[in-house]
Amino acid sequence: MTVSRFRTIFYTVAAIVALAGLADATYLSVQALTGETLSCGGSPDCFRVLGSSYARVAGIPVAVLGALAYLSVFAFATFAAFGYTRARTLLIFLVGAMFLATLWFLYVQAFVLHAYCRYCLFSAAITFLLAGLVIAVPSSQKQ
Amino acid sequence: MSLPNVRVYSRDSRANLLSLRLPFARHAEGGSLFVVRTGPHLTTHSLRRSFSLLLQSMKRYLPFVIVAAVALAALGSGAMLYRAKRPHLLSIPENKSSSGKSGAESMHIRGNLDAPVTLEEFADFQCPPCGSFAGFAEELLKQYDSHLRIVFRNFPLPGHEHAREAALAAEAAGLQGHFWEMHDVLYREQAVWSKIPNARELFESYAGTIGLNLDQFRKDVDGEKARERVDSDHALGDSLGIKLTPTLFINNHPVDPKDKTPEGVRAAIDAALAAKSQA
Repeated sequence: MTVSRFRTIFYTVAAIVALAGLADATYLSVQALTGETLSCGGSPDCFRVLGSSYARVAGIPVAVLGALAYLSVFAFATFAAFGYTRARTLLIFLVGAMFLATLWFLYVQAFVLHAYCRYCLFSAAITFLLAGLVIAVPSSQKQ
Repeated sequence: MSLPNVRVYSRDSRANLLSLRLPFARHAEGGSLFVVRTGPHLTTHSLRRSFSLLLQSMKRYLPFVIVAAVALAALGSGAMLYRAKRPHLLSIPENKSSSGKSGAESMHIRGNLDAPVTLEEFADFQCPPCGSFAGFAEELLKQYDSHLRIVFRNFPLPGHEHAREAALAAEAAGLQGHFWEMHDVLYREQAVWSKIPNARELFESYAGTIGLNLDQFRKDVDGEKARERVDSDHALGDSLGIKLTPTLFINNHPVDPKDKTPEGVRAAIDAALAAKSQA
């Protein structure tokens, strides 16, 4: 199998993984927009995390930003799989930024809020997987 | 019947295989089947070339189509989920409001009884957001002083194991005139009693701490009056479409659940005060 073929498979897998992240972030965005994260009756375990001030940036729910980020990852990975080289560079930068944001949110959950939201942990796992895939993609020099 | 002898005339064998499937290109002649090429435009080679060109042009647009389809699907499913999850709350009818005669009898009110703004809260003692809101409600009473009163309504959620028992304990304390003291203790100690299997013993110890007659308290927790109060609040909440706690109403109008933040609640109270002063 050629390196180019390998890359296509890697980017296709990254796009599929990003879809799982998009589904998770979309669900959390809806919860934030309906006010469910500020209530009991939805997912009480997540209240302390999603109802905290850390769950919003300039009034915008972090989940909405996450959904946009996962959609962008999906787009870049899809274009990269079709051979668009610029999309590969953008994908690396975006996944890198998401990785750093995920480290920050894990720190906040563990050491500031002392509570974990399972949806946030799922999103963290997805971002780590994406980072692993982006690092593992064979470089173009090997071709 | 014997199979016809097939003779194939063509420059390349792949084209012939395809041509054999084209009925108009077959001609039977003296027991033999001759396959005739009808023109260069029908060869596999030309068909494949056209197909490959079509694929190439499709490939250029395919990633755009895929990304647009996924974006639309995410947006559409998000919108559907939002519509399904969004609570449809009704305003509190006048005869059930805190200003109505029938409701006022069983109501727990904090703050100035004649305040122009009433913040009515449907809450569950085992719900952590309700616990957080209880602390914030005290801040609001200090901030708005005589302009605000807060009404508490029981809405124990079925998913919370001790919520109904806690509501009954608060109502039993209320029958001895100490509802708010029990309300405060229940929220303060929420993390403790929520996790133990037998919360009743702790509720009784709280009743002792706030100076209630314990025998009367035990009777009232199991009694008809406390149960009726909890049930009537819950029935009112159900009729208003409440599904989550805390659910807030300001001057009988529901507060949008996404505005349950300190800033959102303050803004709603300010708007209600402004509306009252204009009226």
